[in-house]
Amino acid sequence: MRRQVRVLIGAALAASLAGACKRSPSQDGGGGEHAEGAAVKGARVPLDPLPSGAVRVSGKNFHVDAAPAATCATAGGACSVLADLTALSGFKVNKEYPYRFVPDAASQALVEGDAAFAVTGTHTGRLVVPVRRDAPGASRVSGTFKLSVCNADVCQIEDAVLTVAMP
Amino acid sequence: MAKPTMMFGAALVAALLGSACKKEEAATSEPQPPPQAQPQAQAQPQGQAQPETKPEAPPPAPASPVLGKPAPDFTLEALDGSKVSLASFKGKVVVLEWFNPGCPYVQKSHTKGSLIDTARKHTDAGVVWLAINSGAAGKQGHDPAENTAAVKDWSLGHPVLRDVTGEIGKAYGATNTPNMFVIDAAGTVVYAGAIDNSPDGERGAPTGGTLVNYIDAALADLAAGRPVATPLTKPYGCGVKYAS
Repeated sequence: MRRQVRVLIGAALAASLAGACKRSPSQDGGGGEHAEGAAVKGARVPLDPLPSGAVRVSGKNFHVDAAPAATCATAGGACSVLADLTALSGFKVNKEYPYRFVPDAASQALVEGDAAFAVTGTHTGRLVVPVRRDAPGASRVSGTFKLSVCNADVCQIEDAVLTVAMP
Repeated sequence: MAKPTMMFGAALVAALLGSACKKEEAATSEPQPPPQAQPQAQAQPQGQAQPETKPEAPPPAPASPVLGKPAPDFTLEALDGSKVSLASFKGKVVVLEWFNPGCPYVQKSHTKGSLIDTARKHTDAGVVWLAINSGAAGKQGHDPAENTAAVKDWSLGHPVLRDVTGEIGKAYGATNTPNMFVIDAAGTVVYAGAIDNSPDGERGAPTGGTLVNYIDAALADLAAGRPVATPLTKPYGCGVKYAS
């Protein structure tokens, strides 16, 4: 009896560990084609929902919603433009693409340093573009969000042109 | 007496499964991003975005089955129907470029990136450059007419060879398009990996901030009689569209 209990505990432990083992590789939500070798920017980004009034840019198998962070309306707070990428139609965010924001000439003075990107889910990611609050004439930030989405067969590399009015 | 036995058994099971887990993850067919490229979204106070530090080191490269070994020979059909054999270039430096005209990374590389002029520059200097398409019938970029159009549109001066069975691609361990190999004059594979360190395909996001064309560098090393300083890098781009 005691031996049977020991065997049962051992089997349960083994099954549990094997289950954990199988789960871990698929939890990344990867799947599909990847662009190998690219450096997705490891970033910490605010996960709060976009403020109302976000601008939507739609493309093939994706859309991007962009808006100034809520803190832009508060004196002294950090200001940034948030751009949420959503992959559609079974496509996923390409985790290895070097996402970036290329500001238009008119917006270069407004954008302060490189944008950061983080994957927030299998189908979603957020780009954070740091923006200067003290730039004269600051009224809108415009530029190109360079992004990539993939499904099991193909990847797309896309340019989403964003224009975001600043508060 | 029973407790130590159970604990030992549990520890043994955990150790064995832990080891098995690591092997399974390493063997997964899905390419995994390098550790520094693993973004982790973390909750932050509202508006407190923390720009990351750019990775300075290139991503770790997977092992190559051919690097440092004699290049597997092949005879493949070019788009014009002629047969091209690697053995016929004995004594010459050869560059192999895995190719798929439907792949956006290949398109970017040939229109904005490092593949715009690299082939012509080196073929003018006597290097042999061969593009190989290992895409199976029905897969993206397989259609010969699409390949012929790409040769014209991108003004390619080198042949595109058709490896429809994927046998040669697999022999070289080609995983991506583009995926580059350099074979020295002695017939040894001396470089395997990416065309450059800008994984957007358009020279716009080089790892570490400075663009490195790995083929230029490898061929410069060979021309100078030096060992190739960076013989292995991790390729980026689309997966090769093998039949299976």
